[in-house]
Amino acid sequence: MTVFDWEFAIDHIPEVLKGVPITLLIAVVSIVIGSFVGLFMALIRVYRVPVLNQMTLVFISFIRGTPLLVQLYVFFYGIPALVEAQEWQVNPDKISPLWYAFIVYSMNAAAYTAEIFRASLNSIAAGQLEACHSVGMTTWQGLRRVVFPQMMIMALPNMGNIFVNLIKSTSLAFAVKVVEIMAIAKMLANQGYNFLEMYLVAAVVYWVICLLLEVIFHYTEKRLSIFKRAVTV
Amino acid sequence: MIKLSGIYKKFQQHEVLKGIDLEVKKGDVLTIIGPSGSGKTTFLRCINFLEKPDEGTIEIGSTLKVNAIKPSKKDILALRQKTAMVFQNYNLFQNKTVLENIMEGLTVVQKKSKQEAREVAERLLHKIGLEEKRDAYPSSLSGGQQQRVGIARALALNPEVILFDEPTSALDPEMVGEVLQLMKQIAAEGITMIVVTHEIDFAHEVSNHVVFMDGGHIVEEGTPEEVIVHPQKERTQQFLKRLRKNPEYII
Repeated sequence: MTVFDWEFAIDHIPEVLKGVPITLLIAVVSIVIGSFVGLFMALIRVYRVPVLNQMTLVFISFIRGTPLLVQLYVFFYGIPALVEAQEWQVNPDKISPLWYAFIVYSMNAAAYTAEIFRASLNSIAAGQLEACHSVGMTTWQGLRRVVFPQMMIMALPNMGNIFVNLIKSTSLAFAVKVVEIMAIAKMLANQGYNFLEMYLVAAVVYWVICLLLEVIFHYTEKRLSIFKRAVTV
Repeated sequence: MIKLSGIYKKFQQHEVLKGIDLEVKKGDVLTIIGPSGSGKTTFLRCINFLEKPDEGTIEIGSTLKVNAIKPSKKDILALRQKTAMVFQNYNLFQNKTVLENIMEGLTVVQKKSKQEAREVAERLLHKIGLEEKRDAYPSSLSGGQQQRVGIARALALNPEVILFDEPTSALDPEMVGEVLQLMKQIAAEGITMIVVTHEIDFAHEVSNHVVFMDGGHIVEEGTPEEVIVHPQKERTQQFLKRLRKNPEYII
């Protein structure tokens, strides 16, 4: 027996790839929900809305200061306990593990994007919104048409990082029984103790996904920031 | 007709405006001059509620009267829709092209069709002589060009009054001329203007009503002849003398 069974590794790549959709699903759902919640929290922070501002601060600090794995377990055991305590008409055993992943990863995405959006909002000159007001727009119109588009582009490089981190951290979701790339790799490895092979396959799969995403983000950023490029004629 | 009465404004403990009354007639070109910190910019920003005055009333035309103590959101919006502003730092919408900057208020606020807004914007671009920049973004324009677009954006709204907040202060000296020239041109067209400026010559030549402010009060007001050429108050004389000071040394 060789140290590294190439044949085994290569033969099982298609199996592992079956986990890609789930991994992407968790990451995409979380970044979408997380961005909306994050934007909302960023606005709360920027406008220093009383009470909500403090609550947001605690939330962000909690999410950033606790390990993802711990958060997953807290919800995995916490939600069924809550369902039982409240005597809701739901069978906790029937809740798809994906829901726990969606909740926890969305919360994480929200906490991290909130800080990025806040920094981006702060770096947009106050004059932009004043100019909107001066032509008679409401604050909401000004935010939507002028401030948010500029904020998105400023936040894009960091959003790319968050998304890549999110993809990588979905590998923890198998702790709450979500069958994604890592879970499949591990299960296949278990059959014949081919751990090294399968973990390497998983690593390569993650790497390729992240590489593709980085390229996509790079081009989106380039395309969207045309207004920043000073064209000297 | 614009009438402002009893405008007070405090920033924390610091009283910036201590009761300003002012009336501007249709077609007036009013310039506000005065030393830094005299409250002239704050006063201008109170007119469209970019700064909320603590007390006072603002009247524009015969229909709109806003009390600063409890203004409704609707009133503030109405006030802003009847006025337009040209900023010291231009404040063009960075994510929109020159043409879109001018069209924005027309389509979003005045609900004009894109077609109609584009026609207005193109006519104004011709007027400010920047047709070739219609699809450029503000970051690629010079300061003088940006400010001319800022003026076009204000003109497009066809407001009752255009407020100018030191429109030439941030410009390179060689670009001041083109902006003042444009302002002179629109003043001649009978557009009501309130201009906060340090350009005494502009105030003298173009405006028909000059206000000298200091320490949150209006010290003196009248025609340019009265305020700039023959000021009565000592404070005004002092200020103007310093501005016109002959060089102490000749090299």
